[in-house]
Formats: sequence, C-alpha cells, structure tokens
Amino acid sequence: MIFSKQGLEVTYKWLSKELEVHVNVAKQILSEFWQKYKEKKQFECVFLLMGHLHDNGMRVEIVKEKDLSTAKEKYSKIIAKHVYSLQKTLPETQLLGLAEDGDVKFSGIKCIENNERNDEEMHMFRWGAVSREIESAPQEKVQSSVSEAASERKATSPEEKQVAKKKNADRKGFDNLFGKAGNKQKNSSNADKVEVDSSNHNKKGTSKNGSAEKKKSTQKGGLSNFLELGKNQTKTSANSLNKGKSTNSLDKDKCANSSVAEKGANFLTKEATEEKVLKTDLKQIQNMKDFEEKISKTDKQKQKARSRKRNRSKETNNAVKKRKRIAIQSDSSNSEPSDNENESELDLPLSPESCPAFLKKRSVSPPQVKHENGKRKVLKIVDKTFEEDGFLVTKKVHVYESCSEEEPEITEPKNEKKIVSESHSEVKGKKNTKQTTLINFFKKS
Amino acid sequence: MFEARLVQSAILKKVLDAIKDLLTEATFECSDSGIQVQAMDNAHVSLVSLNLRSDGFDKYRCDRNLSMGMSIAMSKILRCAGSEDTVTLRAVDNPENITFIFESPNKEKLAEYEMKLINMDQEHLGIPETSYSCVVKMPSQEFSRICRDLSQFGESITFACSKEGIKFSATGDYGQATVKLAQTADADNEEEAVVVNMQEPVKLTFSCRYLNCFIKAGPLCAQVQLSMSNDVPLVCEYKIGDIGHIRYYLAPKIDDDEEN
Repeated sequence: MIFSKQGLEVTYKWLSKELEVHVNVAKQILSEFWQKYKEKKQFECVFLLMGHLHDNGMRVEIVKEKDLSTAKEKYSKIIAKHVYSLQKTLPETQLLGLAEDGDVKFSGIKCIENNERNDEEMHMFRWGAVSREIESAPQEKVQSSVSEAASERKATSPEEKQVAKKKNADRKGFDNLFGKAGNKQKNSSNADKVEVDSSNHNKKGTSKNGSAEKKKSTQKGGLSNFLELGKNQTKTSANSLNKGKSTNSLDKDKCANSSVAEKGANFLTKEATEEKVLKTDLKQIQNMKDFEEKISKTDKQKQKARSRKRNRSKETNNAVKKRKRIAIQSDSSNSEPSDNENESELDLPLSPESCPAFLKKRSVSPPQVKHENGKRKVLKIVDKTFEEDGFLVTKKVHVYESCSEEEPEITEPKNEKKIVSESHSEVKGKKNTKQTTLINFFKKS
Repeated sequence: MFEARLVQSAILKKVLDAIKDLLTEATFECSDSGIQVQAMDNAHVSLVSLNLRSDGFDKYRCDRNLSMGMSIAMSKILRCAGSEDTVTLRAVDNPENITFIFESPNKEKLAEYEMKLINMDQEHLGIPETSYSCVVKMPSQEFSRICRDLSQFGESITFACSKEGIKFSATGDYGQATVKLAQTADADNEEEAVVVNMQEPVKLTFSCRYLNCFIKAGPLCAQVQLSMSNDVPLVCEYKIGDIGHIRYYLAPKIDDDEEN
C-alpha cells in the first residue's frame, strides 16, 4: 500500500487525484479500506466532521479516530462525516493541511454537463448537508437543462462504487473535452487562494447558521450561477462554474499549500500505470461515448453553448490562465496534467480545446478593472483565434470580461491593502509616540 | 569670592552656544571642585549637565559654594568676547551680579560685563549611575550630520544599536531615511572612529528637536559618546577639552499604545 511504502498520509483528495476519480469515490474507497483494515490497527484514521454545534454554530473539523466520539458530542447535528485520510502515524492533524494540494479536477464539475452534480456538491461543501434540505428547490430549476445528468447522478449512489467509477470515467472524458485544460491549470492557482476562500466560506458558514433564511438566500446566490448556466451557458457561467468548483474543493482543502512537487514524482510513475488501465478499459470509453450521446441529446442549447464556448473558450480559458499566473504553480503538477490532456485529446475529436493550453503563459500586470452594471469587468489581452481563409489566425484582443472568478483575486489585493494600511498605521503609531519626560526617570533630589 | 579664569574664551562661548537653545536660564553651582550646571528644558524632556572642573581653569578660586542663577542671555555677553580673549568670571560671596571680564591677548583691551543674577528654584535631579547597554562613540560631526539629515524626514529618530554598528532611522510623510554606521575596523584615527560597545542591542526613539539642540555642542569635541539602554534616557556626552564635559540627557519616546 501506498502509505506502507512511503509513510504518506492518504487523504481522499490525494487519492482522487492519484486515481483520477471523484472525491466522493475516493472517500468511499478510503472508508471501505478503513472498514476492512481497522481491526489491524495499522493505520490511523482521520475523519472530517461537519455539523451544527449546540450553540447554533456550524463547524467543520478534522478529528482523529480516537477523538471522534468526543468530537461528535460537540455537535447537535452532524451533517457529514467521512474519512478524511488514512496514515500510519499522524502526530498533528494540522499536518494534513500541509500535506498536499487538493485536486479541483475531481472534486467538482468541469463542464456544463456535470453541473447538476456540482451544484449539489457545492452546496454540500459550502453549507453542509443542511443544503440538502433546501436543495430540492434549486435542483428543479436547474433540472430543466440538466435533468439527465441529474437522474444519472441520483442513480449513482455512493455504494455503487463501480458505477460511480464508470461515471467518473465519463466525467473524465468530458473533462478532457472541455474544461480540463483550464481546470487543471487552475487547480494550483486556486489552491493558493484556498486560504482566503476557505476563510471566507467558513465565516459565511458560521454566520449563516443562525438563520435558515439567510442560508437560503445565499444559496440562491450560489445557484444563480447555475440558473444562468441553464439559460445562457455562456462563458460567464462557465467561469462561475469553475469558480464554484474551485471553491468547493478549496473549502475542503483548507490549507492546501503543498508539496505538489514531491507528489509530482510519485504521480509520474503512478499515473503512468493508472493511465494505461484507464485507457485499456473499453468499458470506460464506451461509457464516455454514451455520455456524449446523452448530452448531445439533452438540448440544442447546450450544443450552441458548446460551440459558442468553443469560440470563446479561448478567451475564457485564457482569462482563467492569466489569473492563474498570479499564483505559484508547481511545474510538476502542471506539466503532468497537460500531458494527460494531450493524450486524451488525441483520443477524442474535440481537440481545438487544446489551443488555450498554448496560450496560457502570458500577461502579467494586474488587469485593468472597470465596473459595469455593478459587475466587475476586467480588461485583458486575450489571444483570440479566428478562422480566416481556412487558416487559424491568432490575434491579441483587449476584452472586458466579467468574471465571477475574480473574487479571490480581489480579496488578495484587499489583503495587501490591509497589510499596507496596517503598516501605515504602525508608522503613524510610531509617529504618535509619546515623549516621556525626564521626571519619569530621574527623581528630584 | 569666586573667580575663574579661562585663557580660551572660545571654550566658554561654545559651551554657552551648546546650551542656549535648550535653556533659558540655569543655575551655576560653583564649588571648589568646579562649576556644575544642571538644568532641564521647560518641557522636562531633556537635561543638560555641564561640568567644568576647577583644574581645567587657568585660575580658579571659590571660597564658598555659590549657586548662581543665570539667564542664558549671558551668551550675549560672551559673544562680545573676542575668540582670542581671556575670560574671567568673578563674583562676590553673596552675589547679585556676576562679572565677565574679557582681556585681549595683548592686554591692551579690557572689557567688563556685569550680569544680574536671578533667583531660581532649585530643581536638582538625582541622576543615577547607570551602566548602559550600548555606548557608542562616533565623530560628533557625523552625528550632527545624521541628526540634521534625518530630522528632515520625521519628528523623531530611532537609534538601533547592535554589534555591527548603529542605525539611525526616521520615518515621515515623504518616506524613510536610514543611516547605518558600522563599527570602525581599525581605530587608528580616534577622532574618526565609530566604536560600539554593546552589552545588548537597544532600540530607542528620540525627538529630533532635542537632538538638534544637542548637536550644537559638536564644535566642543570631535567625538560624541552616546549611551543608551532600552527605556532609559539617552546620554549624549561631549568632552569640553580638558576641562570637563557636557552631558545631555534625553527622555525617549515611547509608543503611545503602551502608555495607554
């Protein structure tokens, strides 16, 4: 096993990344493994608990197995409990946070077709299972566009691991088709923003607890992305989707700034084999195709959106990428996925999506921002590829894009400002130093 | 009878120049051992301690201990003395006046100035003997320059002293200014040397206003000695030739937050 070999902790995030399966599947795998081996006491298991506290607060916490029962007492209602990680020894649960980067790719939706699930998950992650109660309403709204996906999703109960796996394969196929390029690269950058995001979300989470109403409203806010999606499925929604997704996983990997580089090495070898398995699996391919068909059936709109997306995705993906550059990327994790992507793209017809991948490393100075209709729009130099006389012509175009994904970026400068202002106040504080008098020091004689 | 004669009036002139900006009046304690002045500025932030030993004078006689309150307007009198003149201070035992007598080197000119003494409240502070964490000796000119330069940037200068040397910094609206002085490697030229004698690092902030008064004593001595301990007044000492010294004490500035 992995941990016996490397003494690593195996978190569901890591597992999902390694096996390229959905996080939920990874959790399932972990818990099954745990059930099987817990008698042997070889491993230490860490659980993630999410629930309502007795004082109406909400809490997400990571507890060791031995602390589980005491931790549970804190909650009036536990919304979610799953295996967070398995490892041989874990002196400090906080180490888990340092241990690795979560992989956004498998946590959420890559493409529109998946959004039903994402939606649900997002809420799960943001609000915990409480959202489940409220979920039904929003779901209906979204369902019109994604009813099929929804039904499929429902069919896949976590126990049916096999099915789930297949499904994940499907998803994977689509990831390759659509968002993968963007998503993968986004992962690392987003991960860096995790702290900001997660803190935000935590705050939200706790503040929300008091009133269900509030929760609902915010949820709607989150959903609006998807509603929009249903209607337009424009790049904006794609962005928001991405964002939603990233925040999902971000929420989870609270402080995932990590040793991706380290992992990259492991990843290389592992993935090679993994890839093989996946590829040779005819079933999966079959599934993939099935899935595609289904989607093409779902509605023309989607097709339109896709084609539109194809045109514009370069911009959006670029936008995404540009943002990315702000964050520190680990090369290993980056190059790895892109290899992947290329491979898979060879298999699949929709290769133009790979274009954005080449356009990514660009830009630099913070984008110009303007506000329009209350939406932030960012001026970006975007490489647009036009088809002219049968040639693909790439031009640099200034485009104002509204990006909900901006948020993390906004928060960063804000933070900086804060720091600046703090230091400023410090300076001022220095200025405000009080002059003491000698009488304080020398006594009259 | 009190009589003290200095061949070089220039020294006394410089001493008065060194204190006239801080003080308006001061009590001169004359005793057999010499003349001592201790006076605080009106804000009680700084203190001047002047010590002129009797053996530094060319002629010194003090039959009774005298406490003479003098207005620092005496600097005006001293301005009347030529730089080469010999100066003699003279007072009777229960004086109401003090007389300054300036003699030109060739004895051809004799000028007498009489100044009224003033009654002053005795406000003598006991200054405890302290061993300071950091004692820095540096060229007084350098110190003057730094204080002048940095006072353009902020109201106060932070002295940070470590083993490597001493760092002066000031922060203001325009920006920040920092001057670092490293300890001189070879102390061949004593007057130019920067010597840091440090027990533990200190960091203190002082008002520029007072420092700029202190540096008026620069002409008295090529070297200035800064003694610092955390949260204790700075001592800025200039030697006055062989006669004595002038010490400035300056209360540090403390963060308002701490105070409140």
